Amino acid sequence: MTRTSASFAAFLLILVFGSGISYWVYDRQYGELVADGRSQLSVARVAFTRELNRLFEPGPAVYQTVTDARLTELPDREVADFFFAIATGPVQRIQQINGIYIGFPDGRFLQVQDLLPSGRSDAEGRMTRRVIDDPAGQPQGHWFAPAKKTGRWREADIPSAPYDPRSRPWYEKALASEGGVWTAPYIFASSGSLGVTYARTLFHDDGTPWGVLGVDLSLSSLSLTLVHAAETLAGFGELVFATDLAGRMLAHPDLVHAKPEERLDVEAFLERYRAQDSVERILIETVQDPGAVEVVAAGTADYLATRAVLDPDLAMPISIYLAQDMDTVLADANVTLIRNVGLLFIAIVAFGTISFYVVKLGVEVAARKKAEAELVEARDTAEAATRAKSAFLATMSHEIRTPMNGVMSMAELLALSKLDAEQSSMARVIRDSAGALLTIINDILDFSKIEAGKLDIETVPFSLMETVDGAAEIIAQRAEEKGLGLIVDIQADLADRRHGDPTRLRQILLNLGGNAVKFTEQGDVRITVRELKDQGQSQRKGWLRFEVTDTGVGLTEEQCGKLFQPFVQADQSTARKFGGTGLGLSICHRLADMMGGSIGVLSSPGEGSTFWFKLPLEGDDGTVPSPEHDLSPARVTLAGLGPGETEVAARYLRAGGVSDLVICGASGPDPAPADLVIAGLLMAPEDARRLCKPGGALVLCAGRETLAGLSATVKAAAAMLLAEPLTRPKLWRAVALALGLERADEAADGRPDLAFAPPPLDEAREAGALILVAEDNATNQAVIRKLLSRMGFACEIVGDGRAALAALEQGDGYGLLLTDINMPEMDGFALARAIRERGGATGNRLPVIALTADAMVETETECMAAGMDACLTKPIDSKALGAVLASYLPEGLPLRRGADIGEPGAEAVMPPKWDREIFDPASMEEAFGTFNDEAKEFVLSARGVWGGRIEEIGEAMRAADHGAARNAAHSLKGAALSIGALRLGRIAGEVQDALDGDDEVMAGIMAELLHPTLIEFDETVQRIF
Amino acid sequence: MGNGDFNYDLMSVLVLEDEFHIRKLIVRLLREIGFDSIYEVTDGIDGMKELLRVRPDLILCDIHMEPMGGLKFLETVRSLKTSEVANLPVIFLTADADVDTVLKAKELRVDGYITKPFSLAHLKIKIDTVLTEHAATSGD
Repeated sequence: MTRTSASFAAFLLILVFGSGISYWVYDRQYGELVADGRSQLSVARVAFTRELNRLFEPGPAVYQTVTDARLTELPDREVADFFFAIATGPVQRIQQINGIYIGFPDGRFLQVQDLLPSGRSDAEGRMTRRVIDDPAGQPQGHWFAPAKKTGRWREADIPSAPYDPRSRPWYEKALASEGGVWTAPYIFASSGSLGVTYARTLFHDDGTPWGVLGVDLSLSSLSLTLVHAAETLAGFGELVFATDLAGRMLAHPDLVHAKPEERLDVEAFLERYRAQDSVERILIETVQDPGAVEVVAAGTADYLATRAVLDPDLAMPISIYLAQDMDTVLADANVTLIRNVGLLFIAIVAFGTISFYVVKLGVEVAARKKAEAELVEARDTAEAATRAKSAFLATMSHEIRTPMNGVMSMAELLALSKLDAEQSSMARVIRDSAGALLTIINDILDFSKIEAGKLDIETVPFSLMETVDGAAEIIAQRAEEKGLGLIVDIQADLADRRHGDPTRLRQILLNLGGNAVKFTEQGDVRITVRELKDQGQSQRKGWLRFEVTDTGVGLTEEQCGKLFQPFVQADQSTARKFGGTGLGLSICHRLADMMGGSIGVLSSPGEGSTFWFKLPLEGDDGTVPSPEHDLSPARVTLAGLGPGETEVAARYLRAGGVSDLVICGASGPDPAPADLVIAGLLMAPEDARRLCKPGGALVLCAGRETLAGLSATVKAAAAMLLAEPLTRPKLWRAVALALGLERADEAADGRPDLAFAPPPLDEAREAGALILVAEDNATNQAVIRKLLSRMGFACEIVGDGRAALAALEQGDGYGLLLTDINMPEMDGFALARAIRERGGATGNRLPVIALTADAMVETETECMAAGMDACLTKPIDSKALGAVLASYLPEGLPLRRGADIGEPGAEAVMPPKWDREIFDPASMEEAFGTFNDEAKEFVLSARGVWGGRIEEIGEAMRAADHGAARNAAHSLKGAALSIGALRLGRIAGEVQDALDGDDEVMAGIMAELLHPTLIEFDETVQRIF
Repeated sequence: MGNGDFNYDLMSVLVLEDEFHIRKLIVRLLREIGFDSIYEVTDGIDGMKELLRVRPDLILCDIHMEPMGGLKFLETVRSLKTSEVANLPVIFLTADADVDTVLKAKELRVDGYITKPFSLAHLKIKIDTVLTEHAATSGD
């Protein structure tokens, strides 16, 4: 009973205390809300300023356009045409522009205006042009107006006085100033409305004036803009008006609402606000300081008022006054106050009630403690059950994984086949979802394996550097997608050969690295490996500490504690944002445990996290990585890399024996020219190039995608491109390259696989390494022959399947057949089937490789079904062909001869620029080694038959013979693509596709485009040959 | 990529503009930005043909042209069956800032809208923005 009355007393006390606080808050809030009124007004001021700058923007914008158009460089006779082309649109369409004109120092004048000066003319519309091209002879100039019906400009008879731009205020004012000038506001003679002129001088290159541009802006829309802006800013409907800097009224909302006859004389209308007792007059006189908000007593009311001045560079220099009635400010404030006090009262009552129940709850705590003991027991039982469940999951997950792999590979095949947009997006969703599901299942599988004690840790020798670098390469890809840097920092003097479980080490690194990338929005992810020494214990030998540091969101202490528990993510919302099972870290934890190590995290919110783990990985002495060559003679400069990356790269280079190493900072003099400059993209490649000595090498470092996106010129300037992360092998190789100890990447420029000559036919036949080619198209025959001989293979070519079969029957010595699919007489499929039937008897299986222009899965499937071994698409990719030959015709490799190819490049000088889709010389360069005269002649002779093909297509289409049209299109496609006429080939392919899809209309449209495209090809080829 | 560093010289642009002088100005500004392959036509019908023929990376288009104007052209482009052509980035370049026109253009998923007079800087910023957005939406 006493407890209840004590609670009641406490409740009363709180109520009294709370009321006190309420009053205090009321008082405080009152002041704050008046301040709010002030800040609202300031916000409104900024918004108005922006809005009005926009109103005047067309003035400077027209000037910019005229400058960009470089009228000053045009011959005099073209100036007028170009000027009118630029100026007519704006005068016609932009409400506030009344006219645009240019006056010249010799008195000539060009003008576009949207009102007739005299108001009377027989011309339609309101636009006029005036040209004064003979100031002495005809000082009044010629007038032009659009004709009634056609809209064409015609000379119009408009009586007018002589006009000399040089004597006008805008002209004189602009000449006297370097930048743009605004005239004082005045009444336009043409329309009677209030306006202002923006004028600016246009200069010749030598600095003499070429002319003065003038833009007339009407201020009648100024009042309208004020009203619109006031309406858009909610709650601000009070008082806003504009004056010039002398305080003369220029615009007022009343003007918008005024009667039309009042608007005729703007000046007279605005006169009324100059009366001594008008609110406007008082505000103009009181509010002097631009930007300040003041309380002004005017007439019967108080106002909060402020004044803004427009930036003279962007707009005409005028003042804007904004004022708000104090009663309105406080009315709003009162509503807020009453609401706040009400809320506070409710909060106090609620708080009192809750306190009361808290007391009551205290009694029940004792009872709960007992219940907890029971819970512990229950948990132990449950954990046992969990282990059993994990064992079950381990089995189940494996069972799920097998069919999931099936789903994924089928979805991938599906995505490759011919689908419409919706179907292929569906296929992509299947593949992506299946991938995501598989990751989750893998996590669960690993985790449950660990839980069930079924995961084994192995101890095998492995390379520390390769394992860590390898994991980093995988993370690098994801990091680059998010724009993050990735630094791999392995202590350089560590023994490389270690004993442990590289698979699990990689798994932990990938997991921590993947997380770091996932939760970091900007900055770097850094993987560090150090030997653990600080314990000072000898048995600690071989312990390594790995760290993955990011600059991401960071974690609170509480989150850190929960992190390694299964199914827990730092924050439940991260699961929604980033996905994942929350098992990854828990798996890392178990793996580290099982390998005899430990794992942990250092982090604070907002400052990033460092996940670390230490493992006992015993190393073999004497296996510290070192470069193959002596790198000490090299002088190397590092430039344009981030500080962390620079530091690590420098350490790696020194470890490789480079002693003459300079780090080039952002400032300071350039260092002595280096043999090798390793540069990141923080420095422009041209600047980095300058740090090289003549003949020195420049190596550019960046993410793989970024490197791929560099322009060809930049790529060409670099001796080598290094994809980040920078590792020891990559850096050392760059140095060896610069010293000439190694050659540039084989895959990069030189194509050693194309530097061969074929053996004589007999020799190839004897070795059973002769290639038979079945191809009906003469162009393709030549391309294939050329390509094969450059690869060092001898071949015989026949025109169709039947001839191929005959050749095979007559002689042997053929080691491989390359066959086109579409051929007259006997096509590729039939040929392959015939060979397989016949070959079954002899037992000597001839590899058959299809060449097809249709890169479709169905085609490939059909090839396989016909008994072929592989399928190559046209245009033939020499690398793919090389790979196929190496695997199906290894006998041919030893027969290849070295070729005497002259230094490429000497005669391959190309004229500068054309659209590579019209003609891409790459395939010819590949076939002929360089784009020489022979290649050019070849292109021209191949092109000779295309015109006929195009006619054939047209005729067949007109005769509605779709089969013939399709075949002709197909043949044109193949021939054009082989030569490098990519656009022509693509369009021919589209004709074929449309016909295949029975889309006659599209086929017709595309077929018509063939001829102009052929002409375009001819013109381009003529220009560059 | 992302911040406006495009290999303009590897891209092709199609310009639809009936006014000779304006077209020449646009082409000159495009060359200044770095484009080399520029194809010009004077109305929407020729524009369609050239679009199918060239498959440009970017289209700059006037609105008022005869016989086929810019809005009709855009509508036709967007209704094409091949999605890679139908979704090509189109920027309107016009003196017509009429609200109805702008709304109609928005409805047809125009990628950018520049009102004349336009400056070099303005044009480049707009083109970069449109290309960046286009790369982002067609990338995944």
